[in-house]
Amino acid sequence: MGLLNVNYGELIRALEQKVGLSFRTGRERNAWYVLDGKKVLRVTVPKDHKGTVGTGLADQIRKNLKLTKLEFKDLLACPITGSDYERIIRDKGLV
Amino acid sequence: MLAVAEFIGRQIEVMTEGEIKAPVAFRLGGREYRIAEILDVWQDYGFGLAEQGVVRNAMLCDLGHEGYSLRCPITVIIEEYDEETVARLPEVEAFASAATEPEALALLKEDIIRLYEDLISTPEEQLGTLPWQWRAALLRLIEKHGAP
Repeated sequence: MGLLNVNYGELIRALEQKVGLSFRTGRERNAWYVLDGKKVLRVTVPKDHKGTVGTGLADQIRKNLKLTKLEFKDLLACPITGSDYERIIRDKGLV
Repeated sequence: MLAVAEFIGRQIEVMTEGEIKAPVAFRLGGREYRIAEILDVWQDYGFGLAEQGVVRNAMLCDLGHEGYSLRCPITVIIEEYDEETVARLPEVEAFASAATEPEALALLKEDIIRLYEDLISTPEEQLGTLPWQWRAALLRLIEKHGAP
């Protein structure tokens, strides 16, 4: 499955509103996904990116999130909620 | 012996996973099908590489910051795509993306330092499984000097 059509704005909205990430400012932006008071995952997105996110970058963000390509696509397209994502991460034993 | 119930000669969109790109699902006619079992494999020498960047290794000998040094050179992965280059250190899941390799490497160095600082300033009991491992790896790799 291609990740070629990931829009940067939609990606950030999904990460902030659904996953609950909060990106710090800086040249690159990082955010921690925290569960049970523990930093579990770290997600990096470029600052001031515009338009479509490239394949390589989108794939790295997907790997940061520990999602399959299908799950990543679902996250962007809405079927995955914040609680769904939490369950995925717990199921993977990452907490 | 596999009995073929029906031959479908239509284009499918295949979704893959993992470093060796194993197929996990495919889409046919607007419907998605999960692959339960791979029954057979064969080499594809001509197709399927369109989204795979050119991958190679590069060596980092420093972190581009006088406050930090590497105890030994580290190998990072460079992935070149048509319009971007991704540099990454898989062991700690750090990466950076830029138009050119030097830019990507410079951003990766900054990201590694940010991650190191973040991890050493976080109490160990507040680190999940992976960040705890990243912290141990970075403490092995990086030496921090007194003056920034």
